[in-house]
Amino acid sequence: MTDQEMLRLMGVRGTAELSKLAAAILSSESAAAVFEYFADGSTTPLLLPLLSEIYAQLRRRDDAGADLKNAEGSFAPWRLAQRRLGWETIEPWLIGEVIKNAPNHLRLLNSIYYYWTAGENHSRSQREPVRAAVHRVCKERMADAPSQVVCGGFDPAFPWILFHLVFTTEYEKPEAVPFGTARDWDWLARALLEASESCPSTLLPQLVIATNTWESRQKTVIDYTFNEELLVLWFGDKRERFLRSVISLDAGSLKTEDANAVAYFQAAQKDAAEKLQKIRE
Amino acid sequence: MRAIHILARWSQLAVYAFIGSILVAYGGPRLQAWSEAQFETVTNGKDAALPILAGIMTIALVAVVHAFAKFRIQHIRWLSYPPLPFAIVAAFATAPLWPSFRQFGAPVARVDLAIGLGTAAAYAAIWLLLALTVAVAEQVKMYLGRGRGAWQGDSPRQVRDLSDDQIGEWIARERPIDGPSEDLFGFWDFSKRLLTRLARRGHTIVIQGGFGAGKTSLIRLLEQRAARDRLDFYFVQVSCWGFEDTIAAQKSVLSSLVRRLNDEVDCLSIRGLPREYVSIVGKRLEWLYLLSPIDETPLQQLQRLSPILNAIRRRIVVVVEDVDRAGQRFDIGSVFALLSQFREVDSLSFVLTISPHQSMDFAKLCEFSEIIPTPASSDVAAICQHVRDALVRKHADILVDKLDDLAGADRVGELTALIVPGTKLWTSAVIELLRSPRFLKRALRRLSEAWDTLHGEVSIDALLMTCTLREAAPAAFSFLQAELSDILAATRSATYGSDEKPYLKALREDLRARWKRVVARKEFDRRSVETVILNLFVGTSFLSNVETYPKELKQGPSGDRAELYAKRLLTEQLEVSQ
Repeated sequence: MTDQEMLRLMGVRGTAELSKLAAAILSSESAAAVFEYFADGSTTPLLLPLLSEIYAQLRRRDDAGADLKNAEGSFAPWRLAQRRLGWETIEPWLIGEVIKNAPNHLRLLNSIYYYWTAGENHSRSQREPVRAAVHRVCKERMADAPSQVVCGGFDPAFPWILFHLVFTTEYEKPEAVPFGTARDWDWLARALLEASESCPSTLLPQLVIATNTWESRQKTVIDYTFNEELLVLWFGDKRERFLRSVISLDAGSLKTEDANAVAYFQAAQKDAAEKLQKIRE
Repeated sequence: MRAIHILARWSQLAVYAFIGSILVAYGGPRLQAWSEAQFETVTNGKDAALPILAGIMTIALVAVVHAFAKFRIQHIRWLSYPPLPFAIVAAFATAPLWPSFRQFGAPVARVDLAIGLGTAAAYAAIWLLLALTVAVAEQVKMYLGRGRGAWQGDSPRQVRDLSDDQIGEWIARERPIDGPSEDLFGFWDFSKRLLTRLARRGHTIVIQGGFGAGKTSLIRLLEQRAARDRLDFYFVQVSCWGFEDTIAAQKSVLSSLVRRLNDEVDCLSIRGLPREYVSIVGKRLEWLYLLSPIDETPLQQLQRLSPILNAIRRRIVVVVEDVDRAGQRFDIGSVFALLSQFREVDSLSFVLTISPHQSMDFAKLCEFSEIIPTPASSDVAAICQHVRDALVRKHADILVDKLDDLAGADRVGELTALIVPGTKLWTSAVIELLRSPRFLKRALRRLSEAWDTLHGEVSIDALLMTCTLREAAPAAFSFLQAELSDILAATRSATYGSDEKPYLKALREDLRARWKRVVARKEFDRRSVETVILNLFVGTSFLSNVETYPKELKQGPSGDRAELYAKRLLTEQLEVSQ
């Protein structure tokens, strides 16, 4: 994209032009770099509407698989917004953007939350309203949602969505994560277990990853042990049903983009078999 | 003295006519009989074809002889130095007057009165016709070669009065100007001063001016002013560019002189002057001269011009250009020796145009030394601003860099220098570098062409800077091209806490040393060039000690996308970034 094409797109405020600008940034990192280079004070009011449009196009393009990691260009306006906008401006917009992704684009929800609020630059008090909104909206839209809706919100290629939604990437510092305990999300686990009968290869890996123990998770080699406490909390008397479902799923049918996920799932199947054996004994 | 020269010329022609009339009177009938026999053979006795063929052959023969002799219609006007054909006409006309010697026996066959006068009239008609044809052809050629259109008129223009089209036309044209209406820089007024000096007999002038300073344009204006003021000058322009051999250069000077003089007056008698002069000077006597040895000195050879010039009351000003641009083996002194001899020849003077960097004692060679006027910086600034504004309007791009005021650069520069003495702004530096018509034209032409490709994709002011360096200081531009990656690396700020600082220091010192080697060649105005470089590549203050106020141009070779814009500016291509 030439400088002039970018400058023209940046100079207008119409919806159509904004859409073109978002498409250009999304499709080309060099275009995003040109945008970032030329962005000045007059561009600042454009940043949040532009990011909303970029996220919307990303949802349309990648559906449940939408993730900011696959949209490098989107970080150009994101960096500018971080530098130029105050949190009081960002927060209401961010809440609005995040909740747009529930229940159909949970991977993007996690991704947006991560890039805008995670890290040492943001405090728990800043995260709180965003997490509260996420928790509230997810509960409203997913707790009693049909299986089809619940299944559609998870990307079968990426089995860490549930884990990131519940515990976030800062799971090692639970005090920094509002609404980050297993108890906060037990309603979701039960909804997922019910929906997993419709789409086991999508939802069972999500549940398996989320129910791994902290100790196993911290190991550098693939290791899996079900978190007993979590199983009881989330599934209660249905935990045997969950374990049987895990065992009965063919690991080869998983559509994950990460080979480690298959290995984790196979390790979980082994652990589930042992657990069932103990329960029978 | 003049009367003697006129009398000498008439006497010379009278002798030629006398000898010619004898030859025509007694040789004519025999030649006629012989040629009739030849024509009858060729035409197989067809009576009708005979006069046609004879007529064609005669005209062709006369045309060939006249082409060789280079007779011109202009020659006829000089009764003070009549052309040779006068003698031929007289020979034909007077041939019937010769006796047939019948009192001594059988009469000798001779041309009768009707044939003699008829032939004289026919020859005169053919001569006039041929000369007229040549003159008309030359005028047509000159008319077609002359610039037309927006530059009509006979007085100089002010830069501020020029339209976009006129400035565009002016910068697009590489050749010297054709007339005073194209003079923007005061050459027309300067030509008056030069003519006043030349008007005094024997005065010679050296005009100093750098490459592209407008020396050739000035000479053209000088010639036109002399013609307009009806001064008795003929100008002869000679270029020594590319000559390796000094003898060849001398011969070229003299040949041009004779050729130019022959355009006005019959010079058949001095046609061999260039060859004979260099033979004597070069001591390369040809075998012909063994039979008729030349005992004249080179000066006496040159003085053969004086009778002609005195007779027609004209003076020749030989303008010798590009002496300093001849080949390496060229001995400039030998041309100066020739010019020095010119001073001894009555009615012959010269103007020598030469670079100001040529070290020689001009006072020994010329009475006057003049420095060609340089365009006023306000004019250069106005033209630059005019062209830049037109280019900006032409493409209607969104320009992110503020355009600096070029037309007011002088005023701002003076004010800045007043506040911080020694400080120079890039605008003043660019204008200073472009105060040569050729550099100005070339830089702006390049700017226009490059902007057609790069419009809106680079800063137009940065492009003006690179175009200026490329045309007015090519060595500096080559340095930037060759050292671009190091310059960009050296202008990066050292990363905090890294060990990059010593490396950067070494790199900057090395670059400074390399730059000093370029500067040592003294091919450009160092201060102006360094000011431009510092403003173009912000952060290169380690290269020099000039004081300026650089500011980062958004679409210039500094900042986050420095390399991209630097490559666009230096290659004048957009593709390098894609």
